[in-house]
Amino acid sequence: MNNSTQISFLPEDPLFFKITMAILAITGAIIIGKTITIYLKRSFSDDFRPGTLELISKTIYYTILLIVIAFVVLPVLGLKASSLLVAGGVVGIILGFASQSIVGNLISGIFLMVERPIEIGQQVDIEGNLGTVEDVNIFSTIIRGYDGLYLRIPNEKVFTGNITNYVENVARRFDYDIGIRYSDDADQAIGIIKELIEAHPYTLKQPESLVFVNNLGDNAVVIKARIWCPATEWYTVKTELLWTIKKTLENNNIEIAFPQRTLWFANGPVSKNNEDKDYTESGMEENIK
Amino acid sequence: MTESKNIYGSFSVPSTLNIENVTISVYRENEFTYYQRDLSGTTNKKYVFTCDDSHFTINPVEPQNVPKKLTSHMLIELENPLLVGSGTKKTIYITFPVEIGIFFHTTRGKELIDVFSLNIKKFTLYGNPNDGIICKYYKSSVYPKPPEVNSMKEGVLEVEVVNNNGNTVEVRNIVFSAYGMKIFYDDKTVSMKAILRTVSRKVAETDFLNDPIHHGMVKSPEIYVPGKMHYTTKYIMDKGL
Repeated sequence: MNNSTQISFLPEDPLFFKITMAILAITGAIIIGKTITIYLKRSFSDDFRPGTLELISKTIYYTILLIVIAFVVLPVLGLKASSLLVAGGVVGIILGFASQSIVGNLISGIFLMVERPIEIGQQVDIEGNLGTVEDVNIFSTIIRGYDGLYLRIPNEKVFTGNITNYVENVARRFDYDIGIRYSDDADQAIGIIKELIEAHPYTLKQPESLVFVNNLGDNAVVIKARIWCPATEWYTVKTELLWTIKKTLENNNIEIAFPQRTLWFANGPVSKNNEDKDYTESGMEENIK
Repeated sequence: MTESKNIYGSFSVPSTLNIENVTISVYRENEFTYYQRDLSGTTNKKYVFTCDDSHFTINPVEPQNVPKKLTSHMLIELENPLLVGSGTKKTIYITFPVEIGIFFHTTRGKELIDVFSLNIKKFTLYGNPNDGIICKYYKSSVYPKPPEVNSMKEGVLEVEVVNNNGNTVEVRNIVFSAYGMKIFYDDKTVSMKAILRTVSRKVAETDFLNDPIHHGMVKSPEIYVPGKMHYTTKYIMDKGL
């Protein structure tokens, strides 16, 4: 009997074993990450805004993955940091040319998660793409347009582009220009508009809304109303209040002005030779003679 | 302002209650319990319940729920600024808006099913648009003793103002966190008790005390309960008084 015979359950191919271990470690990390993410969402969904909780969950998830890759997967595969650096230098050059935009999107995604100019659930305008942020992934940002369309914007474009975040500040202002007739009482109109703004629950007490005559136009006295609202409610208020103002002004015999031109007709025909003459009433009489 | 008896308390099904221009009806029909709230004859809200609740409760609740839960903070502007001398402690009374909560009794305890208010609803910004907070807004006079108010609309807030710093402090606004509110009521009054400690001329801390303003008052259920994230009941007013 040969005593040196070893009974082993391990596969004979070490590379197969290493790869299996690496896959198991990554799978384990994914399961742990997902479990923690689900736990966080269940436990804190009432306490955090959806975007914040999503960001925390993702940060924890990717951190677990990175730790497992750095401290378990790479050592199991026998890869050392120094060799990675050397290999990384060569591979980096190749990848840099081959996948410039992918790496750009990845890095932009990381910076977006750190800087957080946008969060999930916020209403934004990214380079003309308006909508609600649905997700901020590593490579792209997902937006649900106001028309319900799915928009995927590469993170590089998001990071380097102009972003307008409509709800980042807690309060915002919107303006109305309300043109009334010259024959109407502007002071009365201002009083009515102020009362309507004051009566609306979502118009803020401070900063105070302003209502004033802004322009004496060609066809109207233009009253400007500058109204502050909570950022989450401004659009509702904007769409509600204007029509209420219009109806209430009309109920008080104040009409919204529209472009018009008053024409004065002479009593008789005017000869072409007299075109440059005085067209006042006395001038007309002189021409007729 | 007139003091009148309120209708806070427990009621059996069926019941129909009139609170100013609001009518609350709770009735059973075809083995279901119906809850209906009408405003000036128009139905505002209607629920159908499958459970066999035999009674429901009407309680005053934190004034942060209607028209929408936008904020958990309330700012009370004082009609006349309050000058608090250095090293003084003074008790003042102000008023706050009351919201009316309807609770059904279930196996899990009291569950809120509806909130409405007979008061004006208004919001304001405390601080700047970029770093301030949206607050529910109310304006109140300052009283030396509890004022008589319609307790279906307003409550009485006793505030102990403590100024321990070396300067006289001018207080125009007081901001509270709803997570600290402890509302008590009896058949005539709704009340809360709070403390305002000035830290400097521009900074103060507010908190609520778990006491009624007089004995015999019943505590209302709290909707805003401090939790994992909103663990503190205090609010630091660091954007001016």
